[in-house]
Amino acid sequence: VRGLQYVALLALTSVFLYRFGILVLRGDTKRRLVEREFLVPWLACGIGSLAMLTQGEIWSQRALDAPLGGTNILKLVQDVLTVTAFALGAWTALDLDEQRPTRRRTRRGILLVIFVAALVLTFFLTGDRGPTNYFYVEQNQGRPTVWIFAVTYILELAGVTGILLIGVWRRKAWPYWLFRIGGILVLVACLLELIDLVATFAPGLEAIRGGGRALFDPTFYPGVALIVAALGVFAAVKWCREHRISHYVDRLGTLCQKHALPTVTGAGRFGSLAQLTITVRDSYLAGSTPLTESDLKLLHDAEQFIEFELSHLIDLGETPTIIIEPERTQ
Amino acid sequence: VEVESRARANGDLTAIDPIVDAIEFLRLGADGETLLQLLTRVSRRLGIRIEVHREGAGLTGNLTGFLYTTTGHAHILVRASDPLTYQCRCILHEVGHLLCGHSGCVGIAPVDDKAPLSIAGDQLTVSPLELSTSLSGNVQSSLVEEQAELVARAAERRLLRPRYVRDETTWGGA
Repeated sequence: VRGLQYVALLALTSVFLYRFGILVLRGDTKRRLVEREFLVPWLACGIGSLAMLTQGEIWSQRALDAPLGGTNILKLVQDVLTVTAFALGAWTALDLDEQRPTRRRTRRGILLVIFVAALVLTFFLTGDRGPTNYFYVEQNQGRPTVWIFAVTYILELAGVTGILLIGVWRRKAWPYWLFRIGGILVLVACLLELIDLVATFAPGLEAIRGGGRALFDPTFYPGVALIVAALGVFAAVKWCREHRISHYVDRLGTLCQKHALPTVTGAGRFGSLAQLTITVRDSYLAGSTPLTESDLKLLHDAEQFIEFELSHLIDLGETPTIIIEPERTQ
Repeated sequence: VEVESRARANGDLTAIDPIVDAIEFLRLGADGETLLQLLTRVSRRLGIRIEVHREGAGLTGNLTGFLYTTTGHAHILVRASDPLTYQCRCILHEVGHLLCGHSGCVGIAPVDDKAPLSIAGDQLTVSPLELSTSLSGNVQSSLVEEQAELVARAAERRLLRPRYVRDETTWGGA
């Protein structure tokens, strides 16, 4: 379990730091800081990392809980951070499909405040919480107030994970499979925990007590790691494509300069590359720019790259003639 | 900007209006709009049937795209032998002409002075086309061609976006 926690912590922190690097190194910091698309997932990773740090991997829970009074308030902080991180991820997923989600954002913000308030209230129902204990809930779930807190947390976590899954379920990019599998694992973990909590007081379920709890960590942390891995894959795919675009833009730009052809300014990434390929191809077809074999290969590779990346947009099918009627398309 | 400064120098700002209108029209497209969807929108806006012929009939040498309009019809000719990205750009150039209200490419004419295209039933006949020598000197500087080209570039920038750009930007970092 410790190993799984380390993996999840490492993944979350890596993505958080990667985004921090973008924020610092790529400039335009002010815009990014107010842009929800950037800020919210970044905060989700940061808050998720903090939640993982409260598990005691780096600093002991006793050391972290001491400034809070040493009465297991760290457990409340951990649960609030976890629910908030998942909620921010879920809200981000829902925003992907919406053009003007302002009003819903307000509702979601209120919902998150209610979730946090419910956790705080149910946590402080228990007066005597004892000294810092990693197994605070497990060893005290027979006490009704601790049980209520645990059930509130697990229902909230399941709820926001469910919303996250709904948000990404119909998205088509392949890294969403990691999201889906990760989300399902977290939901299964929540279900196991809930069964365990129900078994605490349900007669006849004594035999399964503790079983669900034992399976929670091996299910929950891989789920978190997969969700964060999806974020990493999205970043990697984007980075690789931009790297290749830069490579072709640089080389074709040099080729254009060599042949005194116009280069491109301010046309966006793909736009610049497309413009350069058109300029070189035009000039080559007009017979005014002789290209060597390696120049032609570069041009061909760049065109193939655009075609591969954007086949969904520029596919003309196999038919020699495409007929488009004002009212229907054949 | 180039066209605007040139138009201002000539005292003819009307040259800009078709470009502005066309770019406004392009912006109305949904995110992730494909080339075929754009052609459908253009067809609906202009109320014409658009035919894209990819056999390349009539197109020779450095003539890689051509637009010929008749009443209610627009024929766009490209060469299937050219790279797909290049064919698409040629189509967008002709779409630029259509959106700017041009009847076709200037400076391109049939070799033998016949009509460029003739249609009998479903049979389309294309005369061999060439860059007209009398006009070729003006083609590069022709405002009409520049207008079409500017609209084509704007359309290209709108269309050529990665499929999952929003997902990647959101989850992978801007």
